[in-house]
This record gives sequence, C-alpha cells and structure tokens, in this order.
Amino acid sequence: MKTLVTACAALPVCLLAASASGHNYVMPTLAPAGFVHDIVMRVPHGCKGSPVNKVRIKIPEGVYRVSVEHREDWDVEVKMRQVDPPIVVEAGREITETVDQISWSNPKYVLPPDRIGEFRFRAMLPNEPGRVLFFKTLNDCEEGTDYYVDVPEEPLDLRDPRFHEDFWDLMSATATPAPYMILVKPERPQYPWEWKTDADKPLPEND
Amino acid sequence: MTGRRVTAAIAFFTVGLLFTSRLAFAHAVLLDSSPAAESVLDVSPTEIRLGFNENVGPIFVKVLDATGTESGSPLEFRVEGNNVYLPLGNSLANGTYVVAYRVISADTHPVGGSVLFAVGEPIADVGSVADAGADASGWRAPVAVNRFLLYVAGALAAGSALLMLVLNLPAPLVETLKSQGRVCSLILGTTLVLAIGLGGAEMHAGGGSALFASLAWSTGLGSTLGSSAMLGLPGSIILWLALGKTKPAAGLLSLGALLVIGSFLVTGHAATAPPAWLMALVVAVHLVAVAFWFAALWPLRQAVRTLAAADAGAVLEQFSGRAVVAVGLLIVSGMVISWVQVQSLASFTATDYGVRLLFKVGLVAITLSLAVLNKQRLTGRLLAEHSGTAKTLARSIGAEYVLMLLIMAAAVSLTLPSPPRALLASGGVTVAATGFTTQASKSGVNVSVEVTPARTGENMIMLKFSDANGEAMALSSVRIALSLPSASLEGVEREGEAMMPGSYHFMLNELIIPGEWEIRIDAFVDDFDKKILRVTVPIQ
Repeated sequence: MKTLVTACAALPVCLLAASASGHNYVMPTLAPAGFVHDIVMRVPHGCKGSPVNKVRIKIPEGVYRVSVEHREDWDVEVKMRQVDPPIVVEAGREITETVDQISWSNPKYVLPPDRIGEFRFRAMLPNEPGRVLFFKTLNDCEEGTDYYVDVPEEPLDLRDPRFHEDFWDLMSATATPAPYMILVKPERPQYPWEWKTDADKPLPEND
Repeated sequence: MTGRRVTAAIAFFTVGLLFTSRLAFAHAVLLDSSPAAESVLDVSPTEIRLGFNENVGPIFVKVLDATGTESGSPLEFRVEGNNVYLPLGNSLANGTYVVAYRVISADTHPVGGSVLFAVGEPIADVGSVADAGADASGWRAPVAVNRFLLYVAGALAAGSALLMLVLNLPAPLVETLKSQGRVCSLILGTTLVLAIGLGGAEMHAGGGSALFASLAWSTGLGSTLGSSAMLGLPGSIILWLALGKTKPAAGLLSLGALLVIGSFLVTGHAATAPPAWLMALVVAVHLVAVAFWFAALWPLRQAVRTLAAADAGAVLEQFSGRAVVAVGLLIVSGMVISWVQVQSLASFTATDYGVRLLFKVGLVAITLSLAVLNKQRLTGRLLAEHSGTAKTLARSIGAEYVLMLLIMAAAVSLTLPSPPRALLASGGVTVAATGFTTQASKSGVNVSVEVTPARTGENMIMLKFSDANGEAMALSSVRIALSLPSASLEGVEREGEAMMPGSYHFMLNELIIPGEWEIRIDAFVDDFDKKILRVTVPIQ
C-alpha cells in the first residue's frame, strides 16, 4: 500500500484521469486516509452551453470538520447535519454537528460554460484506507441543472480484487458519476511531530 | 525498487492508464442541426448537418424512416470543424424521419442521440406512420412460414432417426422411415440457412431486397439463428447421409438427431429461459417426445394400409408401448415450459401469448384423444381383423398427422410475440386494450408506467411513483431517457413536470419506429439521491 502512494505521486496518471474528464471532479483523486486535506471541486463546463450560477456538493458520510474557502465573488452557504452518536476527536473533543452540503452561488458572477471553475474546502477524511468517497454534486445553470450524483450500489474498496471491474462497471453505466476520491494508507502520520521515524529511514521513492 | 515494488508500480501504472481512458468521458453535445429538431420541411434536405460543441468523430449517422429503414441513400459522412455532414444520394419522400447518430469525442466516450424531422407533412402523422409501421413487419410472414417448415422438417428428420434406433420394423416400413427422414433433412438444411437471411432481414426491417444484402445475412448469422444453423446443418447432413445407407449406423443416427434437437435449444424463448440448463433439458425432452410421435405417424399409416392386419397390429402395439412414455414426457415437459413462460393463470387469458398457448394445448388435447382412440379401440379391432378397421384407422392416423401440423403451426405462432416472462422481467405487466402498462421498483421507489397508445406516433407516458406502503411519492425531479437499441436510436430525453405529487407525464412524438423501446427513469428523491428505474415498452 505504501508503494501505491509513492507510485501515484510519481505518476501524474491519476491526475490526468481526472483532468481529462468532462464532468465535475474532485482533487486529489487519491488522498491519505485520516488526513485533514484540502479538496478542490472542479466544474469543467456548463449545462449544455448554459453558464453555471450555482454549484452544490454533498459531503459524504465519515468526512468531518469541513471548512470552506472564502470567496469574494461567490456566496457560500453550508447546510449542517447532526452527528448521532457524536464522534470523539483529539483531546476528547466531540463532534455533534457537521457540514452536510455546501453551495456556492452568485447569479452575477456566473461561470461561463466554456471555463473551468474551482471550489475549495478542507475536511478531515475518514481513516478508512481503500474506501472510495463519492462527492455528489449539482451544477445549477441559467438553463437546466446537471446532476453528478451516480454512485455504485455497493461501496467500492481498493482492496477488493474486483475493484477495477466494479469501478469500470460504474463508469461505463453512467455519464454522470459523482466525483470520487480514493483513500489510501498514508506512508506516515500527517504531522511530522507524530512521526516515529529516525533520520536514517530512506526518503519516499520518487522516480 | 524491489521486485514487489516494481510489480506494484507497474500494476498501478496500468490501472492509472485504464482510468485515463475509461474515465475520460466526453460530453459532446449537439448544439444545432439542419434540419432543425422537430422541424417540418417543404422539400427533402440534400444533406444532414449536425453541429456539436466540440470536434467529434462520427461512428455512424443515419436517416431512418418511420419503419426504421435507412433512407436517402446516404453518401460518406464528413467532418468539418465541429460539424458532421451526411450528404444524401436520394431525396426523401414525404414522411417523418429520425437522424440517429453516435459520435465519439476526443475523449473517446461515445454519445448517441437523435433528431426528429418531417418532410412535406406534419411530424408523425399517426395514421400514416402506423400504416408504414405495418410494412416493417413484412418479413414476418416469410419468417413464420420458413420456421413452420423448419419445425416440421426438424421434428420428422430427428424423429425418423430416433424411430430407426428404438423400433424394430419390417423392411418396407424402414424404407418409408428412411425416405421420410432424408426428404426432411434436406428441407431442414435449406430452411435453417434461409432462417438466417430472413431473420436478419426482419431484424433490420429491410425492404424486399434486404434478403440479398450481406447485412441481413451477417446480422442473422450473428444472432442465435446462426448458432442454431451451426448445429442443425451438420445434423441434417449427417442424417441425410446416414439414412441413405442400407443399414444406417446407429452412432450417426444418434449424433444427427442430437445435433438437430440441439439446434432448437440454442434459440427461442423457451429453451433460453432461466435457469437455462434446466429449461434446455426440459425443452429437449419435449422435442424428442414430439419428434418420436410425429415421425411415427406416416409410417404407421403406411403399415395399416399396406401390411397384413396382424403385422400392422404388431407394429402399432410396438409403437404404442413406447408412445405412452413419450406422451407422458411430452405433457409434463410441456406443462413446465408453459408455466415458466406464462407464470400466472391470469396471463393465460390476458396475454396474446397465453391465448395462443391455450389454443395449442387444445389442439394437443384433441390429438391425444384421437391417439388414445387409435390405441384403445381401433388397434384392438384391427388385430381382431374387423373388416374396414384398417381404413378407419388409416384415416384416423391421417387426421392425427394433420392435427400435428396444426400444432406445429401453433408452436410457430408462439415464437412470434414476446411471452409474458419477457414482459414480466421488469416487475409486472398487464396488456391493456389501449396502451401498455408496466411497473418497476428500486430501493423503496415504485413506479407504474403507462404508455398510450403504445403505437408509433405521438405517445403519452404517464409515471406514477409510490413508496413501499403504496402511498403516492413526491419527488424532487424526474427525467426519462428513451432508446430503441434495435435501431441504434438513443438520446431522446425529457424532464418531467409533476401534475400532482408523484405523477408525471410526458408527451413524445419521437416514438416513430415500432420495436422494444427502453425507458430509463431517473427519479430524484431529493437533489442528491437518484434512483434509476428501467422498463421496456413494446411500441407497435
């Protein structure tokens, strides 16, 4: 699994996969499980030629501590949901409420249909290596709405031998999949002071 | 890098590449077209133009008339910038047309769609389109006649071989049986080959010359008709050769009969119904029993007419002993097949298929009573050498033969409409006098779909959603997408408006080609929660 992170860091393929797509997607497509991570949702085009004036995203189960980047040009709104039972994070702090949906809107600053728009937030990812997170998103346009909400019926897991087949089945069955993010096991903890390492441990391979 | 790491990296690189190609969805969108969608032209266009939002590579662009036939003798299409042009070699007659296309963008994802237009008359004038729709099934009669000959010849050829194997007949009857088998294996071989071309022409709903086009033959060959011929043709040749010998080899006779029976198992509703292996076995038993019974009739009639009463009686008794077993198997296997196909008592009377099946069962009942009469009374009297019995018996067997032919015709008629099993696949169905209704459900969302009149032309699609308790279910939005896979038509999409909570209706005039249309229903329980339901609707 360590190798996976390394290999992917070395290969821009994963990013390529996302950037070539014609539907909303999130970056990174591979992220270390359990990290607090910056996430970018990219909206590559409008609805059949119509400009986008509202973008909505649903935060998947298990993703907490969401904070949304400030935007001068777009109004940001968050919708909360209860976390029951509450989950306990560091120092015994309890999370009882978390962000369920984020929406960015501003009819004045519409996103032209042929330009890519970026919408950023930060969140703590679940510590579940192998899980695939799906961020369902909607683009509300001047005319019509594009829905990128298609998810697999059964959760996908990188460790499942059928992972690639199942993923392909999902992607070939729909032209409007929800943006996905694959959680991988991190090489080391997120914060350097939590590393148990020693100076002589080799650096991650980067070829 | 260690070996394991290298492997992992290569694996990941491969996966990554797969993702690159697979996830690269293009969203090529048709922006405009000429003729414009839903437009009515005074004169035929000389060229079709499709304008996309990006550069596309066409897989196909074709103009279909209301029967689904390609029209306008299209020349090679060409791509200029974001436009695809399809020049037409001939002008289009007045009528309604669909431009069906499938294009691929730089990102390799194929997108299909359609544009509806009419020349010289309003779009989808229901009357004329319905008439034209009837022409599309012009291949039905030839297909049915050929299939009838195929069934009869198949049963008689295989049956003759089986009888040779299990009965010990006097020499003149063996000759009768051999010539019956030889003639029928010739007919069988011919009809098996013809079935491929006729079936292909029917699938393409082509005109009279379609039979002579290689497309019809390649389509037919690629269907189960092809695999059927692959088994049946060698089977019929083996039987023809084997039955030509003075003493046919038992091995060749069994092999030939087996191949011929097998050729019926790879095609058709009954033998391919799930569980396939079991149904194939049941159908095989049914076919063997039919073949045995049917093929015996002509030789038995000959026996009664030409042999001395005692000899004929002995032959009849020899046959009857085995026929009891065959009839038992025939009835049991027939009941299993009927039940799997029809699945409810009500369907016997409520569906076309059920009614035809009842008709066939009625014919079988008459034939059986005649057979019982022959066995119980006439055979006994023949042995007791009653005068005139031979004539009566010969006539009675002749009647049985004719009834058998009628049963074969009924069996062919069963292959024409879709059985309720196929209609039931999406969850339940009733065939209303006008229109078509069906249901589907997916994780707590149920929908009933009503299509009126379910004929070519303008149709209303009515969707009613309900929850697990049967209560009307309000949804945030509903979209439908229609496609007709047999004509490569797709991309007919609509967003619904709720008439009242949970009820949506759509008016469409894109359903101009008869066939099994597929409707995908995207039901949004809320904006982020979409359930996909699918139904198939036959449009006449």
